Amino acid sequence: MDCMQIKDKFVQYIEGLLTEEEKALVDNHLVECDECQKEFSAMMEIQERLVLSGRRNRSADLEDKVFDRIVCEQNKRLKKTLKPNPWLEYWRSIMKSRMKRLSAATAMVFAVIIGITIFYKSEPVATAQDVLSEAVKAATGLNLIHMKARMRSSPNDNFVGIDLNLDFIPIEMWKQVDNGKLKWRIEKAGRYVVMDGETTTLVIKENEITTHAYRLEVAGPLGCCFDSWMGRLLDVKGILDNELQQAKDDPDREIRLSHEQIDGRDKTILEVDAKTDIPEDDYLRDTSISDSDSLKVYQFDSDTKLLEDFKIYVIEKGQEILVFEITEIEYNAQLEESLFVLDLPNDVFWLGEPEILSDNNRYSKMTPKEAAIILFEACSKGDWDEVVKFLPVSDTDQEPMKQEIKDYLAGLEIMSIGEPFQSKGYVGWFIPYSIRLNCGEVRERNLALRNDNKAKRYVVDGGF
Amino acid sequence: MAENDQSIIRQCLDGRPDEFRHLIRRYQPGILAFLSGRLRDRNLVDEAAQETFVRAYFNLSTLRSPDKFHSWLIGIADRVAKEQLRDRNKVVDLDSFKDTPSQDIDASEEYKLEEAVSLLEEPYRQVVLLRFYSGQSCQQIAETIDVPIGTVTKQLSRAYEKLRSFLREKNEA
Repeated sequence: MDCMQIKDKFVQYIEGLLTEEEKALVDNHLVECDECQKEFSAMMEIQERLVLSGRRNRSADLEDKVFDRIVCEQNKRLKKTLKPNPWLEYWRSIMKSRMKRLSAATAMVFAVIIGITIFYKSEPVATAQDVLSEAVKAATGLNLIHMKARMRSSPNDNFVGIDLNLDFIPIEMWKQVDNGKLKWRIEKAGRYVVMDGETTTLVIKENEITTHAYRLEVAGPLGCCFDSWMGRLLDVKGILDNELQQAKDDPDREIRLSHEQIDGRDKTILEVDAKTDIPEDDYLRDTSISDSDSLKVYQFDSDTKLLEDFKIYVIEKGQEILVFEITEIEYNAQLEESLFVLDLPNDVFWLGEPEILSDNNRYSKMTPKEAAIILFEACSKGDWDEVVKFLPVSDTDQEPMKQEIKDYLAGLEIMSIGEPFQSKGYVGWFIPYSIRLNCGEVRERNLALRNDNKAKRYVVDGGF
Repeated sequence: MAENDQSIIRQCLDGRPDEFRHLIRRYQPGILAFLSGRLRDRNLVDEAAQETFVRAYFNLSTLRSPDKFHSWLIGIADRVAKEQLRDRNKVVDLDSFKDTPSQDIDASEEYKLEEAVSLLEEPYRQVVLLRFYSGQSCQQIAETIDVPIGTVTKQLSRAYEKLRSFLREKNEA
């Protein structure tokens, strides 16, 4: 067994789940391999700290305190239900006087007439959960969907990114399920994702001369591969089902239900608030829907129960700012097969999971700041073999960039590299930098680096 | 073998509220650890844990999937923690007219691990809480969350890695 296979057995080893033979294999390997021994000790240390934390986090009287509060709350509720009914008291007082009885009878006749009139004009009272249940049913089995939407976002940013200061850009999405086989495509000006039933490919049009692509050899489900939450919109049943489950599981979740007449048809509107965990002063706050406080507005046709409109507002300083809206939904649309076929330029640059390099240790030991400095120094020296080690590529033998880009970056001068910082909503690090390019242009940005890959190297994830 | 959550919840709903004590005993260490990581203040943690269980008790009938009781409970704890933090920040603002954290926050080493656990994403957080705070074996966890035992050990392994990386970065910061 190699080191990776041995490391995979560590938890089973600690938990006593290995056979004697397997245990002996791990034991022998640990005697011989310092690297694995170190890994094992580190894992044991975390495990022991968790055991201690488990013992520390106990409260001798929590159970009794909870039960005292439950009893107290139950008594309060009981008193409420046993309170004398004021209407019953009033009824008794009426029945004591003949005049009052006569007036009450007249009033009741009028009340019945008015009540009947209102009853015939009113809609049956449905709850938000009823509306969602019906909408889930209506969305079941929708195999062909074409959506057009608009979003405040940069054309080159990923499908999650929003920018409240930018204008809307168009987005288009298609989904097809044919004989149980899913295919989909999502597109905006600077990038698109195609899932052709076998593979999922992200194509990024970085600029006029460079196209990057990243392929996963899997038939990516919606909302998981490159497309993030946006793809989930194509799974109309899924998003509504999720909203319904949340409404059922979360008793505090407030959903406002209303009706509106549009073009002579009754529409049902649901408004749902969502709060983010991201602090207000976080770097990533309001840069995606999930990193913002938001308001989602669903609109359904009251007859067909189909989702017809969907808007998302970001709540910033008490203001509702529209950031996303579906402008057109076509169900059971006729879709061209060519939508799900890739058409890539020959010189596309393939991104991928960083491989473990022969000198991987040198890179995996770097701090985010060191990685940023070495990357920019390599650009400055024109050492492209070094630069490629900081790019998310599996094939480091590829020519990392075209001559025009090399010319643009070579000879750059590092003006400053700041202290790395993190955001609650991002796994990697941001490193503020300022560089002067050969052409005289000064760039000040935050370089995003992450090392959650099997090579544990920091590679560029944005801001380069 | 210990009675499963579904069966206890059914009994609570059938008019035997005392059965709820089993659920408190089973999950209180995990809830306390989760809230410690979020609130880092022992007084607030105790209050929030009580509130979490009381809310859970009175809303048991709305729980659609009793087999997901644990993650539902964590969801309630998360909301309670947010409310507590919001209320505390309001008090701080009124008291000092400054946006400074409360003096009561204990940012020492003591809660670093709990903070790391509370920030783990699912399903890693769930397996860690069940393993170390609810004292379930890997086999029991596999049955509780209905996955193969191999998945549980893989998720634990990944959770350790994530915790290590979080703690390492915290120490570097």
